[in-house]
Amino acid sequence: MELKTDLDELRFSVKYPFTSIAKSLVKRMNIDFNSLDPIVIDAAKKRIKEDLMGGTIINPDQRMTKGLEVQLLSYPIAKILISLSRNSYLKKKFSEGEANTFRKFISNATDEEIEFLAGELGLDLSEGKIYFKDYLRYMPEDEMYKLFYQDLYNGYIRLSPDVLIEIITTAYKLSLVNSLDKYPKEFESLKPELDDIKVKRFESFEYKGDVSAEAFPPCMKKIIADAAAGQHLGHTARFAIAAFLVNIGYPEDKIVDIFRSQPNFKEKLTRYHIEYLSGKKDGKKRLPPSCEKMKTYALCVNPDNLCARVKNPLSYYKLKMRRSKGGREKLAKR
Amino acid sequence: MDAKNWLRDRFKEYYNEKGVEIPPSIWQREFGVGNEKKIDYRHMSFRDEKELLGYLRTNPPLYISYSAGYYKFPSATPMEKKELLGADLIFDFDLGDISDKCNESFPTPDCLDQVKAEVIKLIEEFLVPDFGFSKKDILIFFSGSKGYHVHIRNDTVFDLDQRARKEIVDYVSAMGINVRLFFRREGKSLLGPKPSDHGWAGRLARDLVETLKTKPLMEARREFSIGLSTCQKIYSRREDVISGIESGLWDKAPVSISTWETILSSIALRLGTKLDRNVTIDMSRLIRLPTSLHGSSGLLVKPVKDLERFNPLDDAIVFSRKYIRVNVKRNLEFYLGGDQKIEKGEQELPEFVAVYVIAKGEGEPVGD
Repeated sequence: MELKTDLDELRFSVKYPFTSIAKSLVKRMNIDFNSLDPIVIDAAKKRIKEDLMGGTIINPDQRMTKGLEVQLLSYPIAKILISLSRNSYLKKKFSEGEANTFRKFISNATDEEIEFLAGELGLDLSEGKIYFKDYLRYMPEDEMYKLFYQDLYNGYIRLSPDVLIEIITTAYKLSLVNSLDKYPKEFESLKPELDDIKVKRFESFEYKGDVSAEAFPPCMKKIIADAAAGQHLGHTARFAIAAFLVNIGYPEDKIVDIFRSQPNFKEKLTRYHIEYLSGKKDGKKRLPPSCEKMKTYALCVNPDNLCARVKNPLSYYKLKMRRSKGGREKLAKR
Repeated sequence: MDAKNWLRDRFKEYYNEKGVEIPPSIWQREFGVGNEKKIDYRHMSFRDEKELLGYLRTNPPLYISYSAGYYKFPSATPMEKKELLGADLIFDFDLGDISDKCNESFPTPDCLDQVKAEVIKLIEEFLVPDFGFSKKDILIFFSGSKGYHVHIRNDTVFDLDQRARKEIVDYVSAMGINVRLFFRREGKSLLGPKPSDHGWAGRLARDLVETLKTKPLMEARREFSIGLSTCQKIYSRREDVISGIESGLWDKAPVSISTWETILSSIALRLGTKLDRNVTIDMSRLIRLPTSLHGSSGLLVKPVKDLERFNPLDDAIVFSRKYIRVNVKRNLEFYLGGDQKIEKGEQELPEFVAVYVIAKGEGEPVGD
């Protein structure tokens, strides 16, 4: 990885603060971690707060060297603070936020940069291929990443650019989470800085109370209509409708009824799946596929204006319920 | 004499004469033994060859199993205290997973051949071409009774976690495959898998094209599990459909994507390996010790070199042809080293047949 100027090096380090390049730059800055500039501490706290909301905002194009340096230093300080918290939820959320930021940068990175970053994370990529074992280690949870759908040959998987980015991002996230495990006793004096970082666990996305079928997005209406017409639903369609209904608080019995007309209907199995989706089994409620995924499954039909505004069929329902008068009351009831 | 003790005496003679092959890193393996059940006691360990052989030669159990896992403290309890270091990757094949018809107490060579076909499928279709495992790392054992075990021992599999093992066994068994994900729309075209693709995409497309090219409509219909008129729609444009799929285009016949989904799902079901998934996933599982004797048959848990030609009911026999007096409980017909037709009652049988019949609980030794 060759970076022409000091500024290039600094900008690269701001984008990818976990790399050996960034680390050696920080080292050369000769920072006394025991008497840190308050600006840096504030930047680290801001970084954490933003990460907890989904991702931190980094501006590598900033002109001022000082500003870039503060952004760079906010990373190791944020890591120290998170490690000091000993809070696994914080660690997880922080890493997810950092991973989201990382994903944005790597999505626009050059091939050379991607190869370098993969190498920094211990991923062996040769000619865009990865050994299946490394793939399994960093395989994202989503169904579409399962091994079935990958180009697996002679032990190696040729990754599409999208999957490659997801794998590297997951590798980064895992290495970050692991690096937070060590308690940095030498920086214990920074612990009070954690006080104004609130840990808020968000409730899972849920609408209880009455359900109004009119507020369903077109894709879900279509699946229900297909099922009512006795049409065979594919696996993804079943998953999507069941997960959608479970999340809006539709009664289990009524969800089962929707599947009753399916040619291979098995009540016990259907209930089992619904209970799985509703988190009855493991306390983990599953969300329906995003609109983007519904599109790739060819399940997104007749999208209307509201569809363009939402990322998940659930948000469509929520918005529509808010808009309609009756719906507003129903939402208010809970 | 009690049948079980008589069997254990035979086993003792065998172990004294032949011994067993010692698994690699024996001191890191957990052992389990059984006489009543397959495993009465577990959490045992043997430091070395001498200890294990000493045990088998003085007090042989009817069944002995060892762990796929390697532990720092193999005899510690509970399981977490053993400290798992890694594990071999195991695939377990049993008659029961193939078909109900075959799951009888005296397995036929035919049924065992069906299990063998699944083992061959696993190795030749998945482990070698897709995962790139080398055949020298793939060990095949006859289970000693009604199936086969495949063990992979190498650095790649050693530290695979449970999630990775599950993903691998899902892959080879097609469990949870969602064929819809092989398709996407681009404009008006429906794009899907093509025969030249790697992995499952290519496997499904190749099989479908092969069926379309070689099988008549009625046969294909059964294989695809679709209606007659739908299948006719495909067959009326057979050549177009084939050349379409060969270039990844799936809209050459007037059928919906869910029809293709049904077809590919039934192909996946047929091409997936039929095995006991839990054995692969569960890293603390105990499996029959290779080259030990199986208490339900008296056959050897035999390493298989040439799988195509291996016939367990001939090749895993270890006991002699010397005659033994046995009281057989009912008329029996089965294959073991040849067709055996045995009538109820007291009689002399070759030792290997006597052991087999007694191990299956169908006879008792007389005298001594």
